Amino acid sequence: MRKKVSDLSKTEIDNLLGSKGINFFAGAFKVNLKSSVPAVSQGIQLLYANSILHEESFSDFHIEIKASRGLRRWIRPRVHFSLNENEPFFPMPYSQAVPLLEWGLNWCVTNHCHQYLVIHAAVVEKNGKAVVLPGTPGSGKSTLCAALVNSNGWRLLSDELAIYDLKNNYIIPNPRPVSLKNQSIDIIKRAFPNSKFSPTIHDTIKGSVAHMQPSASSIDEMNNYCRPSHVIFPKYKQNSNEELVELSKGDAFIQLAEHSFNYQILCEQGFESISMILDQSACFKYIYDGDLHVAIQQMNRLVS
Amino acid sequence: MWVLNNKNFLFYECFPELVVYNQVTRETSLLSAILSSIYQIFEESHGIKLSEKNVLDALTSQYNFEIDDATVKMNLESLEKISLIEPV
Repeated sequence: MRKKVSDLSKTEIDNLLGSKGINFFAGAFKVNLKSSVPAVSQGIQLLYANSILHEESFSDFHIEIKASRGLRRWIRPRVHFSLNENEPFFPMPYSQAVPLLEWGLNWCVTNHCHQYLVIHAAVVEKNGKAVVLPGTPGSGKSTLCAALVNSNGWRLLSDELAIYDLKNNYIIPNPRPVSLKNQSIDIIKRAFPNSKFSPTIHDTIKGSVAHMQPSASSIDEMNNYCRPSHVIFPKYKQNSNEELVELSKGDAFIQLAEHSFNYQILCEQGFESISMILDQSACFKYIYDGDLHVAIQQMNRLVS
Repeated sequence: MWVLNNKNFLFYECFPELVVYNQVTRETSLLSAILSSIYQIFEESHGIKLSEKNVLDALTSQYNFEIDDATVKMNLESLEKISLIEPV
């Protein structure tokens, strides 16, 4: 039985974060994280409770979240994100340490993992069928994803970053906390009272942000890869009629390329990756008005 | 007159459209049904150069498009712009 973050006590986690770092899987990637910021420790205990610890010396990313020193400790305190001791971003307000960790991890993957096609998309799976949900911020992608993974039989493969392995033609599960913003936070909390959330952080660059813990089953099935079967572009539209419209493969191709972080970098491989995804996927545009019950039923029908 | 120039391209066939990737410029383009048909006409010409009239005739007779000279010219220029055909 592999050891999980939840097997460690708060003191053990604090000690690791403050010394050699805690080694754990953040989705598909091995992370070594150091931090003396209490919110980071709390975030790891809650959001990554189900994540597996690794004891290897190798990590994909060596990350540190640290507080500013000097006067900045007292006046408008800040937190810094560093990867291999380099700081790619400006420091952010101290209260935003957990969002900074999550955004920083996303940045690590999108900027360094060019062995895969990385698409800005949620991915959920049911009945062995992986549904890729690409979307721009505000499209309702994460809300739909959160609703599905709280429903019977759906597994979280990704909230933000779909990882497609061209060599083996499958989606690599990358189950990490689901990032919700603004009114979506309360919508999901109300609809699924058993879901576990980090505290809501207000006034970030993305508005109010909270992260939802991925389920233990999604993490436990992390090595169960699957092939894409549907590519669905969700669009949340208030007071609209729910509509599922078939999308031409040509349109889907161009939109998937636009939603990919490294399509241009991968060149021919990027083109072949999207071709392979679309060869085995039905493509749709899905407009929904926020009625999650209806949306879940629609998605269930698609994969039944 | 134009001739096909597709040696540096990758294709994703999604009838009636066609997605093309130019390996030199690294640009991806979506060809509409008519552009895709014109590409098909050039491909079937086996390297023979074609005029606007040749393309217009093929589009109307083989592909049942109702199309005028100006539209054919505009579409040929679009294919030339992405370097899939070149003027000779």
